[in-house]
Amino acid sequence: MNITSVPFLFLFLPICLLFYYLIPNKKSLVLQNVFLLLVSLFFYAWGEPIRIFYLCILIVVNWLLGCFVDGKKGTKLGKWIVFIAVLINVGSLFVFKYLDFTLENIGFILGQELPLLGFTLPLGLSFFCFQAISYVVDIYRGKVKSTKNLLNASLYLSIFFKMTQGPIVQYNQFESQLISRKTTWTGFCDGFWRFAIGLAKKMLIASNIGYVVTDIFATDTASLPVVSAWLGCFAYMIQIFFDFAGYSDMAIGLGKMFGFEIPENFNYPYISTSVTGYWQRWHITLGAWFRDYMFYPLTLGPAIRMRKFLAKKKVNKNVAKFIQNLFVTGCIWFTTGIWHGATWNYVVWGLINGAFIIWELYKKPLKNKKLDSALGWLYTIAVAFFTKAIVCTPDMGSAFSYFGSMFGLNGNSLVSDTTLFYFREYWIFIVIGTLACFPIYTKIKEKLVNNSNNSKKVKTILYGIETVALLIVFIISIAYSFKNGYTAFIYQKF
Amino acid sequence: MQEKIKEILGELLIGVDLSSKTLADDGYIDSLIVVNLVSELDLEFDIEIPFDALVNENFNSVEAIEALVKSLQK
Repeated sequence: MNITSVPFLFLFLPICLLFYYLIPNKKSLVLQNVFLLLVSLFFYAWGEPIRIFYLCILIVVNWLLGCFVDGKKGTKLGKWIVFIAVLINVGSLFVFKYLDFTLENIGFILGQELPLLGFTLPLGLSFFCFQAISYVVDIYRGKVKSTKNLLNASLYLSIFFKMTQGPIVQYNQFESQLISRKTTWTGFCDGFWRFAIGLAKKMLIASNIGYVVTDIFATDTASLPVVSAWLGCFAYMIQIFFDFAGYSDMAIGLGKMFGFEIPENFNYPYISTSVTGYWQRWHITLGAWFRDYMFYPLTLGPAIRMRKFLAKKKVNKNVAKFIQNLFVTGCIWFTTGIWHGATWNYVVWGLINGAFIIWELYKKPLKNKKLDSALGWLYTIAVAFFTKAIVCTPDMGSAFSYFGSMFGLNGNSLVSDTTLFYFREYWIFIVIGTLACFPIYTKIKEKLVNNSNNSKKVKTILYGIETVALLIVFIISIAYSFKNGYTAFIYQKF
Repeated sequence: MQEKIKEILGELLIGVDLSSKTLADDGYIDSLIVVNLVSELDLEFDIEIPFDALVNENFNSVEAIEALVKSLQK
C-alpha cells in the first residue's frame, strides 16, 4: 500500500488511528503493539501478498539470532552469530537485488549470455535488512538487551510507516519505545502537520516535476536539446529531494501520531558547502547506519591493521594514510552506490562521491571564509547536479551521451518546443521546489520573531497563517492523490 | 601528550580552531576524520580504541581525546 494513495489516506489510516486510540494506552501497550503489528502486516501484504511469508521468516530468524547473541559480546560464538545474521540478510538482498546483475556481469566476462532469474525486489527489503542487521549487532554489542518477546522484534522490523523506505531506525533508538511511549494531543497534531507537509512535498512538487524528469530521461540522450538536458538534471535534483524528504516527513509524522519518535532524515542538503556536508544532511539515517555498522568496524579492524602493516614496511606516513582512506572510503561508497541500485552507473556515482570526500580531506580552505563557503557551495551543487545524469541513465554509454547533449556535442539543438512546454507547464513547481530547498521561510520567521517587540504575538500570527496555508495545501495534495492515483516513490525501488 | 594530539589533529583539521570544546558536535570530526585519528592515536600511543569509545564526547576537544588515550593506556 502506498501512503499517498486514496485507500491509505481515507481507509487504512483513519481506521488504524481510531482503533489504536480506542485501546487504553496505559493498561494495554501490548495490545496496541499487537494491533500495530497486525495492521503493519496487512499494509505489507497489500503490496506483497506472497512474499510477506518470506518477510515473516526473516523476522523470526533475526529474532532468534538476537536471542542467541545476547550476552556474547566479544566471544567467538557471538561473532559467528553476527556473521550468520549478516549473511542471511545480505544474502537475501543479494538474491533479490543483485543476482541478475551478477549473472549479467559473469556472462559478459565469459562472453556468453547467462539466463537471468528475473526476481523482483520485495518492497522495502533494502531497508528491512539494514534494520535487521542493526537489531542483531546492537544486541551483540551490548547496547540493548535482546527481547524475548517476538512481538516487539516483529514490530520494530515491520512497523508500517518506516518499513518500505525508512528512515532506517537503529534498534537502540527504537527499543525503549516498544516498552513505553506516550500519545498526546500535541504529539498527534504535530504528527498530522508533519504528515501534511510530507504529502504536499510528494504530491505537489515531486510528482509534478517527476513528469518532466521521466519525459526527459526517456528521450534519446543524443538528440536531447541542450536546455532540456540541463533541465533534466536540475528537475531530478528537486524531484528526488522532495520525493524522499516528503516520504520521511510522512513517516516521522505518522510515527508521532502513533506516539513514536522517528529520527530525522534530511536537513537542507542543498545548502551544504562540501560533499561531506551534503551527505551529513541527505538520508541521515543511512549515513548513520553505514558509519556504525560498516565504517567503524572497518576502521577498527582491517584499516588499522593495514596502517600498522604499512608502518612496519616503512611506507611513507602520508602515503599510508592515503591508502587507508582510499580503502575505507572506497568500500563504503561502493556499497552506498550499489545499495541504491544494481547497476554500474550507481557504483560509478558512489565512487565519484567517495573521491570528492577524500579530496576534501586534503583540500586547504581559502583564507577568505565567505569566498571559501560560496565556492564550496557551488562545487557541491555541481557534483550533485552532474551526477544526476549518471543515475538517471541506464548505462555509462548513455550517461556520456547525455553529458555530450548538455554541452551540445551531439549536434543537438539548443532548445525545442518540448523544452518550452516543460517551462510553460511546470515553471511554478520548479520555482517553488527550488525555493523550498532552502530554509528561506525559517530564516524570515526567525528574523520576524527576533526583531519584534512582541515576539509572542508575531509567533501566534505566524502560527495562524501557517495553519491556514497548510490546510489549503493539504486539501490540494489530497486532490492530487485522487487525480494522480498511484505514484510510486523513488526510494521504493532502492 | 596534548602537544602530540594537537599535532595529529592539526594535520587532519586544517584551519579549525583546536581549542574548541565541541569539535565532534560541530561536525569537524566526522567519520573519515575518526578513521585517521583513531589510526594515528593507535600507532602513536600503542592503544586499541574499542567501538564503544567512538562517541562524540571522546572527540569533542583535545582534552577529551587525551583523557580517552590515558584511560586506554591504563
